[in-house]
Amino acid sequence: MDYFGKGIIENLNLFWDGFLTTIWVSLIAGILSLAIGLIVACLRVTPSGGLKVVAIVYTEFFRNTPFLVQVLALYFGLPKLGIQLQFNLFGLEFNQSFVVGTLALSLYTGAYIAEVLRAGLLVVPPGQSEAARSLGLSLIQTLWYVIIPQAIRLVIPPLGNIYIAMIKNSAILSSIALVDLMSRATFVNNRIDRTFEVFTAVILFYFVLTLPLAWGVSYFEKRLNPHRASTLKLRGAR
Amino acid sequence: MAVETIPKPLTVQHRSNFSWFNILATLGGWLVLALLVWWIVIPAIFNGRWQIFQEWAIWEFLAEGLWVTVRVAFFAIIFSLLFGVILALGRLSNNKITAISATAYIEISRATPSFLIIFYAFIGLPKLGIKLDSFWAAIVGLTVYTSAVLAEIVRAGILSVDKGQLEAAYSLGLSPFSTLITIVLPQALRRMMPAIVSQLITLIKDTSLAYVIALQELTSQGRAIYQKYSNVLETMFVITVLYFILCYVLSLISRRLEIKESF
Repeated sequence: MDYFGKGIIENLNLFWDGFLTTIWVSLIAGILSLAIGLIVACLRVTPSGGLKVVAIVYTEFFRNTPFLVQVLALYFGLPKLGIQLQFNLFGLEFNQSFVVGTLALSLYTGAYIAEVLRAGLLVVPPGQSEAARSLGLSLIQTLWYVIIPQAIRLVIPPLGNIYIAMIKNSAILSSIALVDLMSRATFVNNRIDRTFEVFTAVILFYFVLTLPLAWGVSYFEKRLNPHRASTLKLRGAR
Repeated sequence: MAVETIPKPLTVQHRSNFSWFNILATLGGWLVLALLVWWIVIPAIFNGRWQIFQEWAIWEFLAEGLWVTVRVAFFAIIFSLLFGVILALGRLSNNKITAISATAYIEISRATPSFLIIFYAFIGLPKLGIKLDSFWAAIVGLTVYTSAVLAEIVRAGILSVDKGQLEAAYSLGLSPFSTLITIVLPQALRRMMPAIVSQLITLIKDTSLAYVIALQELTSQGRAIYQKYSNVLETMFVITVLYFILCYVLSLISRRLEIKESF
C-alpha cells in the first residue's frame, strides 16, 4: 500500500541518525560559542589595548562574511596548513567534518553572542556597581545581585534567537559531508524521490528543535519585561 | 581659629586609568596580534599561491559571480521587503483567516533553515509543476525566508507606533489606507531600520547558499577557482574580502541609523 509518508516511516532510522547528529553539533557549538562570546565580550569592554582590537576584528569578520564560506575555508584549508582535526574521545569517533563543522559553527555564533553580551554589559550604568561596592557588597555579590539581574533581562531573548539561528545554520554543515538531518534528507530524497514528503518531515524535525526555543524566548520576553509585554499586548488587542 | 575646624569638602577621587589589568590586557592583545601576523599573515603572503590573482581573467571570473550575487540579493531584497510588509499587515489583520494563515506562514518559514528552503525551491517546486532556473529558485527561497523574518520586524514596528497617531489620523478624515501609507508605515519602518538592515545583511550572506543549487555566484566561482588551482585559503580569502566589503558597508549604515535613532 502506498500512502503519504510511507518513505519517511521506512527510512525513519536514517532521519533519526541525522537528527541526533544535529542535536550533538548544536549542543557542543552552543556551549563553545557561549564561552567564546563571553570572553570576546569581556575583551571588548576593556578600556584600551590590543585585546580590544582583536575582539573587534573577530566579531566584525565573522559577522560580515557568509557562514558557508567560513565552513568551506576551514574544512578544505586546515588540512593544507597541516592541521588534522579528528580524534577519538571516550570511545566516540569525531571525524573531520564533525569537528570542523562544530568549530566553525561556534566561531560564527560566538561573534553574534559577543555582540549581545557586550550590549548587556554596557546597559548597566557604572554608577550601579559603584553604589553596590560602596554599600559593602563584594565583587561577586555585585555581579550576582546587581549587574547580572539587570543585564540578563536584555540578554536572554536575543540569545535564544541566536541559538535558534545556530540550529538552522547547522544545516549548512551538510555541505562538508557532515551526516546531519539535512544531508540525510537529500540522501533519502535521492533514494525514494519523494521531495514533498521528505522535506516536510525534515522541517518537522527542525521544528522539534526550534519551536520550543522560540516559545521559551517569547515566554522569557514576557516574564522578564512584564511592562513592555503588557503594553504590546494592549496595543495589539486594540 | 574657627576657620581651621571646618572640614575639607569631600572631593571625588578619580580612579586612574593606570592599572595592572590594563597593562596586561594591552600587552596580551598586541602579543596575540603579533603571533597571528607571524604565524598566519606572513606565511600566507610569502608562501601562498597568489600568482593567479595577477591575471585579469580571474578577476573577471570573480566579478561575474559577484554580479550574480548582487542581482540575486537585489531582487530578493525588493521582494522580501514587499512581502514582509504585506505579511505583517496580514498578521495584524482583523480577519481571522488572513491573520491565522499569515501567522502560520511566518512561523513555519522562520523555524526552517534558509538552506533547506532554497534547496526545496529548486528541487521541490518543479514537482509541483513550477519550473525555475537556479537564479530564480535562489530568489524565491531567500524571499520566502527573509520576508517572514522581516514581517515580524515590521509588525513590532507597527505595534510600537502610538495609538494616538491613528486616532488623530482618523479624526483628520484620512482613510484607513492612507493612514497606513502616510502615518503608520513610515514611522514603523524608520524605527525598525537597524533591524531590517541587519536582516538584509544576513540575506546577502545567505546568497552564498545558492551554490548548492549550482547557481554561479561568488562562492561557486571561488570554488571553481580553488578546485582548478588548489589554493583554497587564498581564494577563500579573496572571496571573503569581497563579501566583507559588501556587508560591512551595510552594517556601518545600520550602525549609523541606530545612533541617529537613539537621540
